[in-house]
Amino acid sequence: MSAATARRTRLLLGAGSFSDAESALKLVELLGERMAADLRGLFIEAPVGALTSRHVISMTGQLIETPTAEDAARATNRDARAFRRRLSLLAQSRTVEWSFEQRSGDVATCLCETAQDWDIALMGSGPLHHAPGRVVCIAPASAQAQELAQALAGVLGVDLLSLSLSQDEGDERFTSQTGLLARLNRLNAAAVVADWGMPPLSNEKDLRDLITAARCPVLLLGSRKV
Amino acid sequence: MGFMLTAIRDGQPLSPQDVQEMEEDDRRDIEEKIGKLQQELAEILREAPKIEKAHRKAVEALNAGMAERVVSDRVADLTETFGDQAAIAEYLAALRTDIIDNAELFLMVRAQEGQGPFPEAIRQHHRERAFDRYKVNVMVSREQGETGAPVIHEDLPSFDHLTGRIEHISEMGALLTNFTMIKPGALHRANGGYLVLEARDVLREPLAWDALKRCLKAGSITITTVAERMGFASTTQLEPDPIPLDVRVVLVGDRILHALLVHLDPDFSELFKLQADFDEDMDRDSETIADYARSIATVAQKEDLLPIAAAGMARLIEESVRLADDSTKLTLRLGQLADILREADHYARTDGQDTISADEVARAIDAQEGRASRVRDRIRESIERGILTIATEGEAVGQINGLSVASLNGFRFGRPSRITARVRMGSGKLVDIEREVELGGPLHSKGVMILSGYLTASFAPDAPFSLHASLVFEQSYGGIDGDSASSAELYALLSALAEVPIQQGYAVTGSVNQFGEVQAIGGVNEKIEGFFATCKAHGLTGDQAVLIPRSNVEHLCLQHEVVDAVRQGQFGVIAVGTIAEGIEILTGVTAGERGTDGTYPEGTINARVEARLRAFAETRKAFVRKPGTDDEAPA
Repeated sequence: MSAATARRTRLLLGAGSFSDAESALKLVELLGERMAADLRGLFIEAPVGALTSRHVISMTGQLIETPTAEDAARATNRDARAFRRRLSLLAQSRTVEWSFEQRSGDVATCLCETAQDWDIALMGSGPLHHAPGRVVCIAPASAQAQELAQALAGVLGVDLLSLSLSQDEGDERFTSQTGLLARLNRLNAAAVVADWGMPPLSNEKDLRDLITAARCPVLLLGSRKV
Repeated sequence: MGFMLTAIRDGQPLSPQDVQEMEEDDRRDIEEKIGKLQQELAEILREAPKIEKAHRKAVEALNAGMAERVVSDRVADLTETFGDQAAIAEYLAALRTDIIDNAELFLMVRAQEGQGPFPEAIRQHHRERAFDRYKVNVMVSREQGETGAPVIHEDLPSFDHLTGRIEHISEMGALLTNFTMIKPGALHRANGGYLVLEARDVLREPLAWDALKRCLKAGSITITTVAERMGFASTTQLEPDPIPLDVRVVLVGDRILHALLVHLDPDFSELFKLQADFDEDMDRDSETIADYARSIATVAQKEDLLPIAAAGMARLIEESVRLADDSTKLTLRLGQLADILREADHYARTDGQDTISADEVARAIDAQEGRASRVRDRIRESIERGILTIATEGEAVGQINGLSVASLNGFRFGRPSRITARVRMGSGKLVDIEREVELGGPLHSKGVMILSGYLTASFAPDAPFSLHASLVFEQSYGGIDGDSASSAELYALLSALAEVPIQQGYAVTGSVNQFGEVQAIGGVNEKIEGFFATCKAHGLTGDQAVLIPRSNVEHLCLQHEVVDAVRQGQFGVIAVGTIAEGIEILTGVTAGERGTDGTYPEGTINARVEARLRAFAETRKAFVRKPGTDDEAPA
């Protein structure tokens, strides 16, 4: 038995809602065998105290009353249960091990606290519209990240775009992290693939900025280095 | 769920407590800003679906515009070449529209460039299943330079082979199909030309005859499956459009089949209006013999057989005449000659010959005969051993050798049979024993009844016909039919009445009419050869011969062995036209003609017969007058 088969890749799936979780799980399904990994679901609920506005704007543009803390908690738990059920079904169909955890707090913080035990972290993000976007690979990137981004673009049937802080590679090159994230923020991305420990991703703030700018699922390789 | 706006300080959202601790003005200012932003965001989100739709349409229009330019250029070449064909022009227009509508198929292929194991230049994208929709399913094609209407022979005219079929492939346990799996039938290949079918084969195949008629009636070919036709298939099937049909169907079959179809199928005469009844033989003259020889040579050439020497060809033509059963005809059953030719070729090659000579042809004919002649040989053996009694020497009263032809699995042979006649006074009854025991067929009975007519009209017409005679084929245990032995039966009867012996070295064949004229019969060659073989086995004496009807002379085409024996005076074939001629030869006594005084010359066969019949009549007359007898005549 080889080392690779002796210990399977471990994949952490983060989500703040069931919509986020769906987007992450769909990517795992699409990548098929390439993602044959033990799975852990991490449901991160936003702190109730942060809800300061009296209104929420729905995805269809309707102003609705901010739900009470109890309603919000119920909706959150419902999403968490749905996420857990979908995760278990996916794991059973692939006969891999799976686990699930529910946390409260900041997304980046929670991911950083958990990601060390997992090979790849995938933070889901529900779609905001239906227009297909491109797969973005943040360079410099490891060979594994490049290969994964290429495969992802293939199965999604979209183009691959490389944004780089290095002047020697990438489709679009930037001299600053701010510039790269600003460009990413304006892109319609289907997914973002990045390596932990390589620019512009070296700490919790970088991760938060990347997730905020991406507005789509983010695949984080080398998360054990977090 | 949606979006919630909140105030941020130093990059962190403010908590409700932070907001409460703010100055009233600052708090109001923040709430106003949030309210305004909420309105803007709500409006944007409400517009989003419309924007998305407009975006999608714009992208589609852009793609379509680009695709149209590329596709139109490519399709234009084809349109220029085939545009004069309305159906093709229509197809090309539909093709162009479809490619433009599905341009993403081509873009996907472009995106995959360089990913395959082989160089892009040799990658065959058109083989990918996604492009099946643009394949052209060539149902029927013509070879380059091929002209004229197609002539198609279909050896297996099954339902599928006639009207075409829809094939399926098995994929993951499911049967799949598409338009490229529509396969043509013989009707498609023959469309615009001729389709030649064996009628028996078409009728033997389930649903094939019905399908053929349906297509001819409708003037179009509809491809369907047997299961669908029988109502067994409930799954969704392809339903190809009917293809207009313009074809001439030639059905080949025997006469019985034609008659049955005319009689039993009302559609047949409507659909097949032209009848061509081909003869089974042709006239024999120098011109047709030359053509015939060329035909046989063509068969040899096509089958890569050795060339046929002139003598070999002559022997084949001789066999053709024998098969035609008429020396003025040549058989058109070339298949039988081809069989002989193939076997002769084998013998010639085995012997290292360069050509097929007469010897090889004769050997092949003899070998064929030898393989089929078991029954004939057993009969001849029985005659030789005296189990079947046939005399070929000496003389006997009321006994003659008749000749018959037996046919077994296509092999015909002649054999002699002893026919005997016994007579006595009676009430004018001619007993055909074969008929009495139901071994004689109707034609045989007819022949015997004609004898009665001949006797009553020819002898003692002024006296009651007071004969009781019986006729029998000795040692015959099977059915007998045909009237070819009626002359032999009459000779036996005359011999018995005249009490004049018949020479047993003779055998007789021929039918007779009421005027005593001998008429033609079939199988004359086999009959002569059959008697010759018997005589040969008993020993040829030079006095043995066969009496045949004169009208059969032109049918003679005897085996060389018989001809040679006749030439050497060891055997004879004698043609007779009347019973009088025949009885003189058989008995050596003059038949006699009725004179002006109404009597036959003394001592002649006819005088003896008439005297015997008169004697029977007188005896009968005296007998019935005897008082107290059952046969007393009414007053």
